[in-house]
Amino acid sequence: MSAYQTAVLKPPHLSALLLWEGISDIYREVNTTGGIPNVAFQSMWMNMTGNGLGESEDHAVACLEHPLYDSWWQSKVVDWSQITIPAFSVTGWSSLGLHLRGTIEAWKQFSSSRKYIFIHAGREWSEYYKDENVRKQKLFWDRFLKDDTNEVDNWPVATYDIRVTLDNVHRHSEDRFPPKAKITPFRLTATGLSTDERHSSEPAYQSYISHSPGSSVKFDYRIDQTTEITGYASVKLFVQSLQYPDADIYVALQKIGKDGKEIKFWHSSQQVEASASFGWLRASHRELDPQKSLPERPYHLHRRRQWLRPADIVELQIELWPSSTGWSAGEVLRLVVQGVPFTGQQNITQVKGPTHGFGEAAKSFTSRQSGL
Amino acid sequence: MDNNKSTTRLLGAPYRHSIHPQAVEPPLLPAPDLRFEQSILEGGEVIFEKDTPVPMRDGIILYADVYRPASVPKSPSIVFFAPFGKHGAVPREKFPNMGVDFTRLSKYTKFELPDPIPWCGDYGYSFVVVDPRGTWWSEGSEATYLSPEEGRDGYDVVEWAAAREW
Repeated sequence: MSAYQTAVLKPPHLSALLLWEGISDIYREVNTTGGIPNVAFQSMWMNMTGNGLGESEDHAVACLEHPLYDSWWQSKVVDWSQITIPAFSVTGWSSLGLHLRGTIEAWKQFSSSRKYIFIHAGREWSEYYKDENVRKQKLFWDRFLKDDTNEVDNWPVATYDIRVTLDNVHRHSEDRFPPKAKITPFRLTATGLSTDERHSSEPAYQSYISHSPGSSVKFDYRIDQTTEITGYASVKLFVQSLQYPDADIYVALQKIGKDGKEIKFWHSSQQVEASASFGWLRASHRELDPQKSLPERPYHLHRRRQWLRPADIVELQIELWPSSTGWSAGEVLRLVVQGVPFTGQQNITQVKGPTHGFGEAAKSFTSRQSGL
Repeated sequence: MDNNKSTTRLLGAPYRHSIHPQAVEPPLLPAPDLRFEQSILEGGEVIFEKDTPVPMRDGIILYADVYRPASVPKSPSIVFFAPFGKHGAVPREKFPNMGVDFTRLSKYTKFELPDPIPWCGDYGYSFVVVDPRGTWWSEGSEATYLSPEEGRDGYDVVEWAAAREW
């Protein structure tokens, strides 16, 4: 994770980088995804890492003490284009709210003439220790640390898994990532997603209860031919929050099978609970960076909060994390918007949300000095 | 500029007191006593040097575990720089459903690190596994994460490894 910080300093004897599930902009990727604090996960992380003889930078409280993107968060991000040595970056579609976005983001900007990326459909740790992937690691190191001529010279630049179901995956190679693709705009209508460009003359809205699990709005599109959706996507919503000066928006891009049930994929390193992709945005963090934003990839500044009044209808552009999923005719592409996370909130590695409290809280009946 | 303060602290990072390396909460495993030890790992192909001191440019000592091939005098080094405890503080049981077949990995395989037995014994690489500044027994008054300070230390570890006879 700190390898980027070292690589941009160009140690003379650093020959190559193997970046297996990296973090490149921890505020946007892990601590405060879409502006929504994720304290529970970082608390677990601190308990594994905040061990030593002095003090530890506290990432458990980081996004509470520093809710906006400031020079401290910026200090953890490097100019990845300064990286010029051979690099092999690996991540998985499962690493939503963790390694996926940043591993790709940094890799895209490396100036290295030899750079490769592999995006798998499995779980973080099982992929790392799989024979076929240990072989990839060894080939890469042999090529650039031992100067062995091997098949790495013929590796495609980008290899990624297209997920059809959890276990049905097609591996595909390209000379770039994201691959060249047609960006298809869909319009949200009262009857679902539409590719019809004509504006509806009738103003329309749908509503849900932000704090209520199970309350959501859904927009369906029936797929009529075999379709691969790979790369970036975004959602533009016009949102009004009637009883709170903000709104946490959770978006899922779902694959619905012909039986009407969602086909789920690996989420994080352990659970089968991910949709085809997720997106997160706290409405008050909606301000875009006009230089870095693209239609398919909005980029938020997180420099100030723009609170909502009940009468305000505000435009939100929500980043959906990169994904690759295959659809067949008759299956449904479904966009779901709700106010609470889609993932299991009981599991600390899966929880993604602003919960201000998590796990066991013990009450002592005798006074006890807390240890330093 | 206050030279006694890290960039990270000057930028307003929050801090907490670290937990002593031997007082971590279960299921984390405490660090064994700080002591340099050289041994030959099971199978005889890998030299293991625990708590090797690695000096940084400011005189601070980080401790690294070095694994290297017994049969090759010189081998390329791979540096691992993470705060999870080079002794393997994170037990496998902490995360269920990892999908890893641990029966195929040696007991020397630590959390998120490759198995040193094939990598150093068969493939001919040296591993330098560092406890970053301020973590575990490594010196330094504070641990920072993904920081410019870590970048500089990583630089010094890479150059230290390159200067070893092995």
